[in-house]
Amino acid sequence: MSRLSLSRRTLLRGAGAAVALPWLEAMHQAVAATPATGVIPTRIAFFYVPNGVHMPAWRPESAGPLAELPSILQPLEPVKDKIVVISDTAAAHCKGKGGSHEPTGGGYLVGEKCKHSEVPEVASASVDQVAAREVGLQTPVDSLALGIDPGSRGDHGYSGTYMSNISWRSKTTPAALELNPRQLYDRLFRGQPPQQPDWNATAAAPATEQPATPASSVLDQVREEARDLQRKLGYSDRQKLQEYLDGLRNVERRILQANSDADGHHAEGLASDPLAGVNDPRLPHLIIPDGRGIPPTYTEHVNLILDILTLAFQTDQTRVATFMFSYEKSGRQYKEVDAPGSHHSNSHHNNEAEKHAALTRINTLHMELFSRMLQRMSQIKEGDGTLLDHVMISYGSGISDGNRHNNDNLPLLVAGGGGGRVRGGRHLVTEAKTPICNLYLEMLAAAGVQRDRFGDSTGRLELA
Amino acid sequence: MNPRDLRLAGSARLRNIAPRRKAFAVLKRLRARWMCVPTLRVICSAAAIGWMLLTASPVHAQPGQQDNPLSWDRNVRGLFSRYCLSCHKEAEPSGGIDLASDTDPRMILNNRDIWEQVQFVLQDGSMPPADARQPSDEQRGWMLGFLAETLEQIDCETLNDPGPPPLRRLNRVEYDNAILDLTGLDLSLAVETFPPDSSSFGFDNVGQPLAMTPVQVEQYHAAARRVVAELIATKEAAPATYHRIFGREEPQDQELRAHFQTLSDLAFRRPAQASWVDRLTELYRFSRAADEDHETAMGHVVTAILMAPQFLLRVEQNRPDEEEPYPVDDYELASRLSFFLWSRPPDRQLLDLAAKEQLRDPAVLRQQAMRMLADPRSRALVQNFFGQWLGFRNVSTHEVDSDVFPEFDDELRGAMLAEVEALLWEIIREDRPLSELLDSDYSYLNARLAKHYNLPSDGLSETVQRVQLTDRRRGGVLTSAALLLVQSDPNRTNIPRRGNYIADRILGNPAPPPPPDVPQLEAVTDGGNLTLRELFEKHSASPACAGCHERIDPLGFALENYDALGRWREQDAGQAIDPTGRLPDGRELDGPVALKQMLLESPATFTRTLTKNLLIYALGRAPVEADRCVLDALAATANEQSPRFSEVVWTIVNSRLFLERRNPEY
Repeated sequence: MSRLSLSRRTLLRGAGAAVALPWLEAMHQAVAATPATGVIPTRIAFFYVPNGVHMPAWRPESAGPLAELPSILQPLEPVKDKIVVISDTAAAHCKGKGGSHEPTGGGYLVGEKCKHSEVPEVASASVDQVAAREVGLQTPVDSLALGIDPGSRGDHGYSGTYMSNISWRSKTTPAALELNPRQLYDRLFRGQPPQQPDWNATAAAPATEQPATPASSVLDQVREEARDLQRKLGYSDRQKLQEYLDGLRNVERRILQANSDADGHHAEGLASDPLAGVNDPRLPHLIIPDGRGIPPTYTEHVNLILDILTLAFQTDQTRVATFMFSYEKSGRQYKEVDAPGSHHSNSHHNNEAEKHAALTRINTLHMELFSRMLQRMSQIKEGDGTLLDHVMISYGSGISDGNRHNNDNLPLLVAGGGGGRVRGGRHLVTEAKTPICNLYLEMLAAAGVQRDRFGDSTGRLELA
Repeated sequence: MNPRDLRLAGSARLRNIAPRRKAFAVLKRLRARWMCVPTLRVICSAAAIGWMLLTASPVHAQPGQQDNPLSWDRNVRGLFSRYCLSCHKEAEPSGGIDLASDTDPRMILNNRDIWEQVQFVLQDGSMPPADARQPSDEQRGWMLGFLAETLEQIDCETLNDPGPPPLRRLNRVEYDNAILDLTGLDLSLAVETFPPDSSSFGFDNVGQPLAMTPVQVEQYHAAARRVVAELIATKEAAPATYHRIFGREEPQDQELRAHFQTLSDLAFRRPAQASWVDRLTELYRFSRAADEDHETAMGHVVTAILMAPQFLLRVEQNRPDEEEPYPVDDYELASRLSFFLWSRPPDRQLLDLAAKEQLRDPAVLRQQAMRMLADPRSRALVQNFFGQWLGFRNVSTHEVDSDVFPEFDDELRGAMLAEVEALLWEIIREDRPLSELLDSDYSYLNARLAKHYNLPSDGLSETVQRVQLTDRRRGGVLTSAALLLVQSDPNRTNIPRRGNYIADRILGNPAPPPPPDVPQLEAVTDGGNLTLRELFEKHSASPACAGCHERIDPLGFALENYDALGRWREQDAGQAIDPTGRLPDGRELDGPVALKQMLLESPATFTRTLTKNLLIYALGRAPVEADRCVLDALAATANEQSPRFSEVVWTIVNSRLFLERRNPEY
């Protein structure tokens, strides 16, 4: 990739040490979200691959320590001591009436079946949003729902929304899917330099009420107007206005915190990168392309989104995320790994060796991209360990074999130390058809959210 | 005559959409046809004649009339139970279609979509599947007769629920157009940067799933700030634009308020309330008091307007104590009309008419609708309605395997899209019969696309232009490269997909999804010597597949002479292509021309499918029962000849569904 042609700006960021520059200090005070001292939070994320996985090339031969990895998992070799491969779980809620792929997206993280309807309605908020509601207020952004492809229309009486979104804020509202790296970056950092929190610092004083500025007063006026309007609306419309009001509060909080945005558009602030003069070899480069801000190839697009996710975790912009390698039933073709034809068509392999091989290559590509992110996380120091020690990330699909659309024997693994909750380097075979929601309960606990039940859970799947 | 035409006879009696006199005329015509030329295969049997006489009489079959063969409790229910329920019952019903739960006609009406499907497959003979016990023609006639009668039970005189009034936020296209109309700046902010809009029923303007998430609100804020920055940047280059928004420096209070009122009225698409103008004034004064200059203060005001719920959402006023449906006000009507036909806010003319409360006058309304259709802005319908309904919006993102098709490039992609868009645009603009969607003797080609079609390219340039066609293998959307492309896989055609596309988008009867455990066609792949057709004939051999594939595969095969890029071909992989097929009702197809012909023979079916989709698009909500009153009214006229697009639009606009709303649930 030619940097000249692509780089509007090069973004540098601190990996590891807190950079002691006076202006960063000043920034630090402005960011009121610094959490309790000494405790590094566990960030959780849910990664999704569509159309199932070629299981014979995924499942390790025996339970116990991870030895020789099956071909799809081989990219994980450098980080395999931080991996638990989990076999024999099931997602009964991904099975739907009259459709195979459609209800999978709508059910995967919700844990109950979605409604068979063109107007989407899932059973409740998805697991990531349950976490976001409880721990999200401690960070500038409550959660991220990231992806690569916008998805397509629905089929068989199911809304297309089910296939494009695994993250649901409420029964009827999917979390907005962010696909564009530039927009994502701008939204997260708003022209401010990214900064890793000093987890050992004494807790910052609670944010004092900031005096209103004209910029924040804009939002006050709009909010009053929205409240007046809300009173006149019907029930479901009031909900929509409530989401809008929540969003306003978010914008306002961040304007006041950063005390930025006084003039002009925040993106312009990035044109002169405050870190441009810093030449620290430990700092990785984020190259965001010109134009729409979306890299030209799939691999680069995924890498950039995952780099920004890593940065968001590292700088504690958020602690909860989902990522979809593509939408469910994706027809993307993966020429880069010699898998022509649509992914979905390939997943209907009819037991043809050629299609098995193509599927395996697609699955392996996804795993390489995932592993690259994990390796980067393992290089970022946090306290006595690394960022990878303080994340808990599930990776899998709601479908096992794309040819049969079965929702048991799921491809599933967990990466990261989970803040000590996860003992990696092994293959765990659960009791047959253990609900995947049992894992979600454990991930919620890792994020600091105590629940007795989630979806069809029957207990907590402990991984220590 | 297909079952939908049959059904018309009943509902024509009841509908109130068209003037009654016209309804009677249609009814008489229909009934005459119905009585004299019953072309319906199963009903043609002598045994069914008794049933016909019965249903043609004004006495409706009612449940509980035990001697009546159409009665649900004694007779019909037993038939459904014998021939349908062994597969289509609770737990894991075949095809996800559960017919056992609906135990009385009322429940059948509540699940109208499913039972209409039942009607269709019973009618065309694809159900019960060939290997299952078959009803006699007489029994089939009773079952169909019962469904026709039951599903007819709609009284458009009393059916007055226009459906839930969804609060719709502007989608990305509408947002960008609203910014353009308000500021004159064509920024495409939303399309480029906002998260994709959720879609339902294939459309991204349906209210309920268009969520207001925090990310969305943040993007609105960023976009508003960007608009302000861009406006400031126009100060030198386009001072008129700048001053229209920013007004005169150091204004007096009154002048300031008047300016805020003007800007807000335009942004909100109706007069803004005085309290809002107060808020903006307060904001402006606060900014000035903080030593900010006029431009900065106005920037805050513009940001507030662009963040206001009345700008971002299409708010319609409730009437708290009204229990019955009531007409939307003139401003709301103006917005309904302009977002429907233009995907954008109402223009000055519409707003002026609304201010004078003249828009609701049917003559004025009709005149406006026609004006709007003839206006270039109605091209929005091509991209947003037709593009999503027919699926050619996906042309720009459809993946093609460059190893198999190295000749494919973005230039060809662009030409394909330009062709269908220009064709549809002519049909709208020139108000051509809708049948030309399926079969036109003209199209729009550039040199590249003409070569692609193996047609003369002399005199054609890079831009597509109107070309007269003599060969019916082209013309109309179904045989356009654009649609053939998007219904293919990257490297090959996809026969069931193309077939199901026609069954779904054109005929309005999609096949249910394959069963969860699709039996493998192993024998096929082992041999390797079977033709594609032989492979697909395996579908008919397998009972699990046959029911649907017998219905959709022949439709797909009829298009098999077009490759995955939509080029004509006689052979595939060295084998001659056999485009023939036979539908379950016995009709034979032998290629695209026969397929077009078949579709043209039932203009009512096609018109109905189009209208059903257009209603969802126009109103931004799920279909409701009363939609059928509009559908039936249109289908009645479509029996004679294919209606023009403006007739469909006017029937929708002039319906209670469009003109009225009801209060939401509190």
